[in-house]
Amino acid sequence: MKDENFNDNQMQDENNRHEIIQKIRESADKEKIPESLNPENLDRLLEQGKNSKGRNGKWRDAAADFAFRYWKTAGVAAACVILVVAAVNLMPLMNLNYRSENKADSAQSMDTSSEAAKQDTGAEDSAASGGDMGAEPKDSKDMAKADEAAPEKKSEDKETAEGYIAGSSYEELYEQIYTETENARKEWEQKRMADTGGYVEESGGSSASKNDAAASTEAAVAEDTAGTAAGYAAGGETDFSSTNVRTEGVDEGDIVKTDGSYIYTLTGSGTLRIVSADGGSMSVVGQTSLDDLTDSIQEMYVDGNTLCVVTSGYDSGLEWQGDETYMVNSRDFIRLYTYDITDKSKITLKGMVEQDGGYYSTRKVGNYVYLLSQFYPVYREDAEEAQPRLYVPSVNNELLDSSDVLYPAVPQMENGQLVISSVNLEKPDKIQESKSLIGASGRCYVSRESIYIFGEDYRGEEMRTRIVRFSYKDGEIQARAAGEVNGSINDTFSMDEYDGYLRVVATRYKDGWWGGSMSNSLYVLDDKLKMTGKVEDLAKGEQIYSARFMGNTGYFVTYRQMDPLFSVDLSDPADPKILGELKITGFSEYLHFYGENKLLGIGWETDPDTGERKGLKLSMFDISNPADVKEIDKMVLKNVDFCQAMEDYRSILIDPEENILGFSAGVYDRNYYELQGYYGVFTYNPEEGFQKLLYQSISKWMDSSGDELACVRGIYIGNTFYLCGSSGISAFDREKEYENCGNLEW
Amino acid sequence: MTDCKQLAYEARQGSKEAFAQLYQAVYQDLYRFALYVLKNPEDAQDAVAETVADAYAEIKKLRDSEAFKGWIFKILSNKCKRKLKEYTRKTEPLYEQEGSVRGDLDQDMQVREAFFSLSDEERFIVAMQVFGGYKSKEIGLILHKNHNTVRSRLNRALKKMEEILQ
Repeated sequence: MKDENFNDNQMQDENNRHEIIQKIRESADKEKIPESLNPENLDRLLEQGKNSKGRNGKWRDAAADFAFRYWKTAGVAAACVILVVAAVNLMPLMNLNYRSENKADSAQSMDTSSEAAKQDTGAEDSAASGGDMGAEPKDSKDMAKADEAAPEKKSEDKETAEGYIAGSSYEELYEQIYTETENARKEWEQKRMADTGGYVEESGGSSASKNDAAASTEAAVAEDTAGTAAGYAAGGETDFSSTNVRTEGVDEGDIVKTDGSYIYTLTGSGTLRIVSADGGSMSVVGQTSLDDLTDSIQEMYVDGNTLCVVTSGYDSGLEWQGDETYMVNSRDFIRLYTYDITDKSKITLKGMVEQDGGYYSTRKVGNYVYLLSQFYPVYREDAEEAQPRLYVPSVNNELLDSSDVLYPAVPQMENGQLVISSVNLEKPDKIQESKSLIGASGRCYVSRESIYIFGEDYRGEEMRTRIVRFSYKDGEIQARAAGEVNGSINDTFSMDEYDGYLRVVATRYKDGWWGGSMSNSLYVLDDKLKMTGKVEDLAKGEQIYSARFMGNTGYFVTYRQMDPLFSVDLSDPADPKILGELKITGFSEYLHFYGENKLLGIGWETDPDTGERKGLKLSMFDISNPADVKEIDKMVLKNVDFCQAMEDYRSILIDPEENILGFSAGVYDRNYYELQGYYGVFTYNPEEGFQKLLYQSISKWMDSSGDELACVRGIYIGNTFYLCGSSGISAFDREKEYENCGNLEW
Repeated sequence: MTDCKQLAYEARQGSKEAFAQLYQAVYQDLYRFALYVLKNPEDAQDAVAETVADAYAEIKKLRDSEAFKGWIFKILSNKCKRKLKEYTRKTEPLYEQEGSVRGDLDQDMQVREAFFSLSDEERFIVAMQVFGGYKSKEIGLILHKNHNTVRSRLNRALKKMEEILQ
């Protein structure tokens, strides 16, 4: 089980987790199971179940009520989606480590992709990343078919990503969603059976382990948007912070926002508060609650006098089947509520839209909000071809047109769909445009031009990542290109679009996920997602923890025992070059450009010999010469066990122009085993290095779960720093050494 | 596997026997899951009973025979979620630990106590994984959370237990 290529520190964590899970299992195994639940008593049990339901029949009433409302308001049947997350989608995760006997087939296409890079950009059909998907001759025909099917659409816009085909009818989609995915899965299973290994993953640990790193790195970076947002305040003079986002100019939702005059907060229980903030004096001037209990809060946007709240939910509804029969149906949805907040004391709902599927992500650019959700069709046996609402997503209770559903030319095993819609906030009751992509899942990166969806593909000998690019300007969502690269992509910061090219850093697992030799690659893809250049076999035995690109230069961190920070020259898309490699102790999980020629890293300090974690580490790199990057300062906070910055980049307060950095951290009290929460604010100057401005306990807001760590946000407006938690806000005077100057509790 | 497939087929055709056999294979984990999430034996029992009744009534919807466990857990997890929501509206304290002093307990009790000290959501996530065999992505879909969030919560919860149990 011990794998040399896997870093010991992580291995240790992994073992500890397994051990705890084992302990839970063992202790639970000794629980006495009530006699009444014994299968021998099934009849009585079924009776009891029914009765007890009668007793707590509230939810049924609610469900019936819901169904009624739904019928009444929509006049369309509630989409009937049974979301049982089971075998199909997760198969790939469960048996990652099979070794296929017939190396040839899938490996081949990958080899072509490698080759392609060496050739000139013109060699389009060996087609690197386009891989086996693009070359299908049937594309063009089917795409043409799609064109005919949707004559009302602007034909010049009908260009579909190579490798994906727009549906021409619901019947065709039915075939794709059920028959083709099933075939793909069978094929894969046969291949897997042929394998000798038969490795069964234990308790999800191993597949999670890599992604843990990935997950935390998801917390990576953002361009310094703060600067941009500053100055839009009502007064025009006050600077204030804004949500740390992936791409400058592409807003992301969060639970705390400010416009320089007011602080907007959302709590998990569904309360939206508007707090006027003038230095230390704060008061709640407006408040509203989401009355729909089925909704869970995700995030919000604030733009002038418009405020949007994104929620997700799960509903059971009863569906009339005729003959006194109802069927209980359940569905996942996300909603976008748009409010007018011109009068802060009167928060007025202007409109709401709803989209099928579980919450995935959202973005806002200009007047448009983009909603991304993951939709699962009903099981095959429940699906009727004549009822497309069972397998095609609806938005605002309206079924997507078949031509708006795209399926891969080469069938995938997954039949889940990624749904992307746009909403023009001028018309907050309407979905402007929707697209659904069959077989897509994974994560997203949104540049100013494009939405990229990327997800792992485990079918081949080696794991690959599929990437699909959509354009989204002014709410018009069009699939533009699809491609594939070898390996796994750590997070949204591991991709970057610049000047028409997509640069990607990926970790390859050549001999399968767990056992094998890891190495790292850098790929440059053109706007068709075909490979133009690459560098491979970097940092063998290590994996990517963080990355950041700026113009023609890219930086990424791999780690095993030491942290090499690579810098790469991307000025020639056909010939990217590694410029330098800096080895330091520990590793950065989040990178952020910090003023001229500086790169900030947030990560962990480790012991280079044992790999043991020694504390949270802030690093400042001098990147004035990318070929010779230097770590010029660092600060280590010992004993920090968790840092929210690495879990969710949006939670970081970072504004290089204002020279301020803030995040929450969790520390286990070694005496009482209680999780203590802190919020730290730092600044940096070349003479003195990192300086602590505030290190404030947030324990007064914490319960035993420690969830508060994820909810607390630091923001600033002018000279006041505000620490916003789920049950209040504290103000600190930035001019007076962060002296506490006001508190508001609710 | 084939047995299971056959059983599921029969259950779908209306065989109570077959259903009972499918149930037999999972009921202990169902109860453990409910108990560990709800912290209350009676409610756990109710939740399982309701789940079985629902599953039996809806067995026709079971698509994939191997998926019985995942399917019935999904039903149960929704019941538990609903009960947890009801709890938040109640004011009386929930299930109190039988008063014991740390150190007096044997290890299993300590583990249980440590587990019960987790938040609702953490218990839910850990139990989904331990008893239901769900992955972060699936749990995320059920809880409407990003799977990365689920993963970090899971790790945090386990880390917390590790600290407590040290």
